[in-house]
Amino acid sequence: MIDNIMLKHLLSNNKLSSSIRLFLIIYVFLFKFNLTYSQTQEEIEYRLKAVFFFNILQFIEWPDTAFKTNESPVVIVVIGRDPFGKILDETVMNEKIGDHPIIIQRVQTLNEIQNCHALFISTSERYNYINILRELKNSSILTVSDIEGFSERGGNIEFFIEDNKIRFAINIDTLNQANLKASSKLLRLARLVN
Amino acid sequence: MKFYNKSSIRVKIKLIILSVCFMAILLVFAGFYIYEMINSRQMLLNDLSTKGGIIAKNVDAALAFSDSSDAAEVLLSLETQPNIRGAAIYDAEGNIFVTYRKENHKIEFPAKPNESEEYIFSENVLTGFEPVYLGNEKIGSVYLVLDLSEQIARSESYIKIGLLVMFGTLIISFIVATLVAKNISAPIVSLAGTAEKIAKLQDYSIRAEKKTSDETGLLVDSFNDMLNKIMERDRNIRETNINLQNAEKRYRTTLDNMLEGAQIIGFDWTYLYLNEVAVKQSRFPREKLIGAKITDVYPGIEDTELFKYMKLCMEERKPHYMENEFIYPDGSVSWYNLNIEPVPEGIFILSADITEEKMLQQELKKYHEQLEELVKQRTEQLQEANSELESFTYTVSHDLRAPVRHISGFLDILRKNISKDLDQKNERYLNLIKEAAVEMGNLIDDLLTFSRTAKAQITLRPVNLNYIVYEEIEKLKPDFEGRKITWEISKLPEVKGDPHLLGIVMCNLISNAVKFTAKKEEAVITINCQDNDDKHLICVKDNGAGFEMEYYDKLFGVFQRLHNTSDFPGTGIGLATVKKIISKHGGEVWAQSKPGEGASFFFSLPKINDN
Repeated sequence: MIDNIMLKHLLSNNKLSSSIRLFLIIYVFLFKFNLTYSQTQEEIEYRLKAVFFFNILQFIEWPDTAFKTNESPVVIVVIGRDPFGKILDETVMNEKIGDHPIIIQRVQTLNEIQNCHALFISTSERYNYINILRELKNSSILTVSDIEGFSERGGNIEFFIEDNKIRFAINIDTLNQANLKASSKLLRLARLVN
Repeated sequence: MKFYNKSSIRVKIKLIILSVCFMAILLVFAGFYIYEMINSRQMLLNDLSTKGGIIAKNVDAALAFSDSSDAAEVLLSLETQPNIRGAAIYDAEGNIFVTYRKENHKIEFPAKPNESEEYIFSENVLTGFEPVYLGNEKIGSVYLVLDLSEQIARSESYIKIGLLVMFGTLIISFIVATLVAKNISAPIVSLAGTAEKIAKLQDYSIRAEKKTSDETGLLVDSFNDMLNKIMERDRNIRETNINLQNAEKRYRTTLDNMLEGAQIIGFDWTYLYLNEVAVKQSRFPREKLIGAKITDVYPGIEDTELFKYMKLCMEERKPHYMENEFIYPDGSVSWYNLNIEPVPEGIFILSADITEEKMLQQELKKYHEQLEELVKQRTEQLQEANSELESFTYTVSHDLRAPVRHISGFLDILRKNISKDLDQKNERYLNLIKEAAVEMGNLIDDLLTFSRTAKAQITLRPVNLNYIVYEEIEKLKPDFEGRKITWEISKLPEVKGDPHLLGIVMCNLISNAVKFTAKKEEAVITINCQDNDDKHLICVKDNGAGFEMEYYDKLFGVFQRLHNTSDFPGTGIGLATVKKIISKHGGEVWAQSKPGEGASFFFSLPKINDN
């Protein structure tokens, strides 16, 4: 059966003929109200976000000091209520960023973090993410979140939804401050925020 | 291939040069063309692949984040590429994400990217997929369509140029070939032409012209050399032929004109040649003989001895000479001396007609036989007569002797008795009677001796002639007592003969010499010898009265006296006796004389070798 994520992709495809599009819309509608269907919309959303998150990491360059060796793992930390669940693990399973394997940690407080390269701040931290950001001021940790206004407030990358599509905004200044570089290809696709 | 074989050297050279040039050019051109094609294809592919890679690299984010507009914009950068007709980006599931078409080309993008992701050269386009990676994961592919028409046009012009070049080269090589071919083939063609001319005209005095110093020149030299040799050989052959012809003419003339018949019979027993004489001898016309088998012309010849020798000569090449009695079919007979010789063609027979001679021979033989018979008869008769005569002579002499001795003896007694009463006239008469009686007695003695010698068998013994001579001289001494005789006696040989008879010979000859020198004051009697290889030659010579050679025939005859008894006494039998005795010894007697100048008597005795 066609995955909902794929459905979304398909729907966003300009090339599809209108009839098929219609069919798909009906299909989606039908399945949207099928409660026996396992996946919820939230799940779909965070599946996509997980993919995006992972993808984004591919376009980020950390400073040399961030890794001991080439084979040192990239440490992803999810702080707050984990919206991904095993989805993130599935997405990054057996994947590498460059030569770096990926480790996912879940924490509730910053203190738990020993080493981190990318930090996903859950919406559960909506009210104290500024503090987190402040703590991380001098580090080279990529901060990603889907909290509204994250990127304007000092976060590096913010997920938002526009036209039924997941998009992201990038704060270049904070990126520079964190000594992180983002590929122009990524920047091209993002809404830039300073 | 037949065409090539039949064409001239010049054409061959041209063909070779042309085809070599053509193939060389073709190969070079083809090589370059193929290299160019492959290379350019490879380059196009690499180029396209590179571009695809660049696009892929630029589009990874757009694909990762499903930003189709960004992806489309990236594709738009392909507008700068005039040959890229279109492109498409496929997502991870293989669905088309975005597409790009240049100037509204009608392109059908494949629904899904193929598994192998090869670059494929189709009719006008090169198409292929380039994967888009994010990290290690393939998140989609880029599909590019490259227009090859420029490429095709280029390769077409390439071929056109190549063809042009080839054509130009062919023309040039054709010109070169023509020149070269002519240069090489001309001397060969010339030589060939000369050879043909010589063969056609049979004129071996023509020579080829040497134009080059290469192998062809060598060929020309050798060719001319051979011609020289041929001409010489020709000359020699002509000479030899003339000589042979002349020789044959000579032989023919000889054969045709000689007295003997000449024929040649071949190995198949046919007549190959007959001269006129042979034809005549054959008793057949020439037409019947030439080419016919001898066994057909003379049936039955196979059984003759002649045929046997002919066959021997034919097979074992043995020559034969024979006298042949040839019986003709009509029964007539001729005799021939035949010489059968082997010749290369068969056998050669020389036939000389000896029929006449043979006939004469046979007649002669007959007469000879008859004569022999006659002679035998006569001899018998003579021998009979002779022996009768001898017996008669002996008997008469012997019987006559006694009464003569009586007369002589009693005359002596009477003279002794009446010597006182004899007057001169009567004494003379008595002496005359005594002389007559003595003469008669001598004659009878001589006759007896003669007949005895006639009867006697001689026994051959070595005889010392000197001894016999001295003996006889001694015996005759009383007859020439008081006379002056000079004896010149040389060493005489020892002969083989009857000593008694030889004594009689010497006695007679010496006594004759003594007798006939009686009137000479000083007599010289010479006895010598002149031997030769097979005869003893004894000579008794005196310087006496001699005799006329006119009467030589009578000299050795019985009772032949050439002188008066009064001049020279003697019976006349002496020499006949000598002749008889010497004849019995197998020798001869003869004499020489001139009246008044003495006589020489010779006798020969054969030298008997009893080794």
